[in-house]
Amino acid sequence: MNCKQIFLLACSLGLIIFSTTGFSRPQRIVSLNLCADQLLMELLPPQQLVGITQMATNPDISYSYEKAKKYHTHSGRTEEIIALQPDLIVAGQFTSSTTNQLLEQLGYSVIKIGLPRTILDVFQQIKKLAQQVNAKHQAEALITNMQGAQKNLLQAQSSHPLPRAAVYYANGYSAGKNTITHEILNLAGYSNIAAEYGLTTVAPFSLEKLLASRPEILIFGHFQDNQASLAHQLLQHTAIQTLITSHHVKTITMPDRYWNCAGPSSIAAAQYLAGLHSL
Amino acid sequence: MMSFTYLLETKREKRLVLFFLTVTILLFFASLLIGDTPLNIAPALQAIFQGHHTIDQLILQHIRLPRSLLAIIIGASLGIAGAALQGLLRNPLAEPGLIGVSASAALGAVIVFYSGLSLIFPLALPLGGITGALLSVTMLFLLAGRNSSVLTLILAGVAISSLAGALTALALNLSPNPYASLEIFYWLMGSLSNASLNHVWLILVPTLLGWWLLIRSRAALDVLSLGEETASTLGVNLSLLNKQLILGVALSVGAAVSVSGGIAFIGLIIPHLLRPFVAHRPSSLLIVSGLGGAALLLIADMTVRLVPTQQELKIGVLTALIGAPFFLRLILSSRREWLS
Repeated sequence: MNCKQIFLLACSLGLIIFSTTGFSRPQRIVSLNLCADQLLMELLPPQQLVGITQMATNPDISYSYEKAKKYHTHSGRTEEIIALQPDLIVAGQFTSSTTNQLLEQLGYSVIKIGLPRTILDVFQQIKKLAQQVNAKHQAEALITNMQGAQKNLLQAQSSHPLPRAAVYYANGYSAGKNTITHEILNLAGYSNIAAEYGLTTVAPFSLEKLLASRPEILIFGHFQDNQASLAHQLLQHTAIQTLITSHHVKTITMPDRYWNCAGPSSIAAAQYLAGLHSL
Repeated sequence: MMSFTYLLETKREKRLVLFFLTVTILLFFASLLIGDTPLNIAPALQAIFQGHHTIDQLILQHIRLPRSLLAIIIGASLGIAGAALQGLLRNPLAEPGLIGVSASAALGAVIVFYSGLSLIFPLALPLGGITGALLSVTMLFLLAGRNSSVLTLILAGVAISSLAGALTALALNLSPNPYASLEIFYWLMGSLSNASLNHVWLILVPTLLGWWLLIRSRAALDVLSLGEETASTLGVNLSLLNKQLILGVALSVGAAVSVSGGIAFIGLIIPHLLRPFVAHRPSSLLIVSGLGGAALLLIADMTVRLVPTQQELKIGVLTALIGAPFFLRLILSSRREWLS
């Protein structure tokens, strides 16, 4: 390690110390991201979490839509966020929107949360976020709760070979090995066909491969309430429909709110899927 | 078969038709063999005829067969419509994709599909495409007319295309489905992926009706090539002929685009390549162009299935890569004609 690196390390350490002490007790937190909404609602009361996105109240996409009714929602416009007088803003890592940049330029402290790929990542994300918003106790309770549910799910698994399930999203996408969906499936006691076929991320899985994989269970994204689109029309393709009826494939329709974010909803998703085994 | 051979006037045309028919049939079987998974074709075929459901049968009958059938039907429509439009407008650059007919058909189909109308009444989908196509061909005929310069036709086509494209984007953005706005690429470039047998049934009747109207007017096209005045003195009912051709193009192209999106250039490449082989007779060009279009679209569709891209390549990308150089060559040659 040369001098320059040591200097940089010292600087970054200093920054971390400054940032944790300087903003140790943020009192007015605003979330700009649906997944951040759901994590923060678990950690903070409405007095402290003064703004969440409007999406959070939509039952189609938000798992904690009931809880969200107690919180103030905003439309995401910059002036509206400034009017909430936040001392900490939580945004998504990949939403590099002009709003985020503008808020940073205006001197607001913005933290960005990433997309966890495993339940373990989720725990780490919760811990880190709890540190930043000063809600350690709530985080510990939340994690203990999730770990307990996780343990129960694993114990409930029977020793038989796990039933083979394929997740099929709009546009013919499925979720491979390095995704939270894969872990949810395993936790719920299913083996993930997409991983078997070598998918590592959320990637296209052709109709032919889906049929050839002879799934026992097909898990669809929620699409019945959606308006028409080619992306969703694919899920009603006659090839899939005939496969389901002729090969007695069990289908599960999974509301999108379970999948959209990795977090407490992931455990709920696994519980939901595990509960459908006996059907 | 009697009536079919009766339709073919010259010996040369018969030979050409037979050749392309063979090629198309061979390509059709080849395209059934191409896919993501290895198939045991013989047992799958057996299962189809016995009405059993096996995995291979499902893949062959419900995934590969509709795709190959649609490639033939849509390719043929684009080929015939291209040849017919070139006869109607007496302009070698007339092509459904280039002059905005496909874009307008796509607009009609998009409005019907994303409003949810086609969920309630499936036939509304091809009807939407046909209405869009009909409006644009009529508008084009009024704007550019027969014997207009190449420039007028192309400019009228550009205007109609961009208007239809913009309205399609607007319609997609107004749709409540979050995926809709991403699907504009499909409607403008065209694709046969995820086609199902339902699509084949939906477009079959209007397509056949369109072909019949176009092929019926083939003799008049020959006379028309001598000029409008000569044609009317020879007893051709010009206004009836115009209506027949316009409706024929609208039916076949409108139905095709409503399930595949707009696939450009096939109606330009094929008639242009085949014209010398039928002694430049517009009448002989129609059926041959239909078969040629079917063969070309089968080849294009097999190619996009074989190219290893993460998301399948849109067919229109491929046909544009082949077709655009043709287009440029045609423009250069017609420019030479103006100068001389």
